[in-house]
Amino acid sequence: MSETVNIRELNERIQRESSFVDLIQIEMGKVIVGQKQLIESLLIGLLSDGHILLEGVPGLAKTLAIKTLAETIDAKFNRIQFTPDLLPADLIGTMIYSQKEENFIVKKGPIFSNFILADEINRSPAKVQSALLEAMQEKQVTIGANTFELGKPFLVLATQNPIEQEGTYPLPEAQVDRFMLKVVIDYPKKEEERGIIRQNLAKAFPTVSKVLRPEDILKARDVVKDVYMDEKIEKYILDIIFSTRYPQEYNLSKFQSLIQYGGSPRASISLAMASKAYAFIKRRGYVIPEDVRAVCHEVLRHRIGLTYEAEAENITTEDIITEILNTVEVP
Amino acid sequence: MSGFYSMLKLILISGIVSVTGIQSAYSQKIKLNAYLDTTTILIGDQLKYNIELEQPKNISVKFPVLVDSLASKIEIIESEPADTAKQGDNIVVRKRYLITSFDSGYHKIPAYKFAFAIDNIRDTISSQELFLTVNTMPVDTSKEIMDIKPVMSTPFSFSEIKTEIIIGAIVLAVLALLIWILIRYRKNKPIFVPRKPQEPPHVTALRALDALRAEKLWQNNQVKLYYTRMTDILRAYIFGRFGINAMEMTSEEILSALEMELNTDMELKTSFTKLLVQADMVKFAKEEPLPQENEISLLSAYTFVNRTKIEVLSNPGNNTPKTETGKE
Repeated sequence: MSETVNIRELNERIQRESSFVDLIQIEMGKVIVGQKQLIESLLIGLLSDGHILLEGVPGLAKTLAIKTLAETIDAKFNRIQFTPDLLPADLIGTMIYSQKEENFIVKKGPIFSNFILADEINRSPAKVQSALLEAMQEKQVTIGANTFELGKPFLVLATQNPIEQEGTYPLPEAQVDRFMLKVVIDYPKKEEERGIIRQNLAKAFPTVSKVLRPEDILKARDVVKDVYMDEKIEKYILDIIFSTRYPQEYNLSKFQSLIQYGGSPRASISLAMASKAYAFIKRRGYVIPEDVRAVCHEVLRHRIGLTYEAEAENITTEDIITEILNTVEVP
Repeated sequence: MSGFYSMLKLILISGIVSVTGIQSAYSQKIKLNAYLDTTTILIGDQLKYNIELEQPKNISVKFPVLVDSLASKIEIIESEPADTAKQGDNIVVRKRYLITSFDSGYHKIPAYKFAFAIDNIRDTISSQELFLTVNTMPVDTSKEIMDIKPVMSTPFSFSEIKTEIIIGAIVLAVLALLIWILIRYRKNKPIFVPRKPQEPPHVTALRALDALRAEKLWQNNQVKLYYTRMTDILRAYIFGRFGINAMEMTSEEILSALEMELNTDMELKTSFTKLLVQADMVKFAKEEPLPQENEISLLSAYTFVNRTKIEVLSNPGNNTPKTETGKE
């Protein structure tokens, strides 16, 4: 009985703590027309301390969305355009000689910010990519002999060009795995685009108010961790991840020759964390299967490797995830 | 007069001498060589007859036409096209014939004439005569006549005996069937057993709900199992009744899939939605409902099955079964 009381208490706590979600959504809605999925994904990443990989054609408000989010949270935002000649020092910073002080001083790079938009991450060579991904993982950067902690919260939103494009360095699987979510953005609907035109033709572009402090985010993250996840949901998550590794054990033998590698243990952690964050956004103190299904595509689409056979048959990871969700038994 | 005759005689002689001189000069420039790869072969073996002709470029030399044979007992198998190559001011024409002989003995290849023309004067040049010895196989007459190779034995292939196999299998099957029928007949058992009709999904569901009630799970503090079993029964029923894969759907998806059905009965929709929400709360949020709520949930499950079931009504006068939904 005491457990039930805890869940109820947690529900009430979440009702209180998650009120800012609506505020952020309202503020962002002033600037961003449509793209609800993007906003929701940003919040999931923010609340579960996970980074996001974005894929979409230019002009879909990727930069504007993260900039607006940073403005609503009173946090620092930096945009880094990744180019083939970018060096790790351009990203994390370097030691420069100060004639005045007659000494080397640290010049911090643009990574020292709360929100980073790493634009076209696959335009840069592997050494720059790994410098960013290392910072993402360790949440700290070493310049010379000094180690500096990165800001809190620290959220990286990286955009990626389609890898078929020439002059790109595709992210290796191990590095892509470090992104909690991969969000694929599509064009806005007709009505939404009408709103975008009107908004941009208006005399004054809407501005957002700061509704949250970075400390509030850190506090909310603790609450998200407390969201209750039942054993049945844990089993459901494991079933989904294991079905990507051993499809034949889940009545999905047809995928055996199509999947080169399945989701890693990091995928299980990310799916659980993202589900909890989604439940929090939906003002619930417990996770239900709907939460897992809602974030499953975004967590898994970049973590399943396809074989040449799958590519030849035009089968995408989206198709595989959809089929897995339609086959794995829901608790 | 005698002076005139002697002059004419001198002109004729000098003309003949000059023509012959030109001819012999060209004849010397044309070199013809014919040779064999070997002069001895075993009967039936093949060898080449080679002709090499070296001539000035401006002379046209005509080769003899050799079609089937070089001599009466030497046959031509293949005639290769002539190969021409430059050699200083001359050209060398090479032609080869693949030949054989099936008659043992000492055969002569005659000399062939090659015609050529120089300034409207025609002449010929001959190749040399060649000789070919054709040996036969030594035969041991002391032994009896035998085959070169024994008669080859080939195993049966499936395609050769497939008809027999198929006919045999059919005969065996018919025999087995006849024996089975005979045994059934002697034991007085029916030969054709009518297939048991599949149980309607609502019958299975109602029986399972009865069993669930009898198990008294929530009374024994197994509320979670009670609701899990109840929702599983309902999901299996929805699959059987509506063909919706409810086992792989969340509560929200099930309600969405049944929207058309439930919208005609709002009372049923409310109670079923409440049941699913309650079940989710118990299963995933450690909710412990009141005893009355547990009873109500089970009643809602019964109501859902009873109101959405399709009953097959058997009509004694008509063989066609009628269906009727369970809506009250």
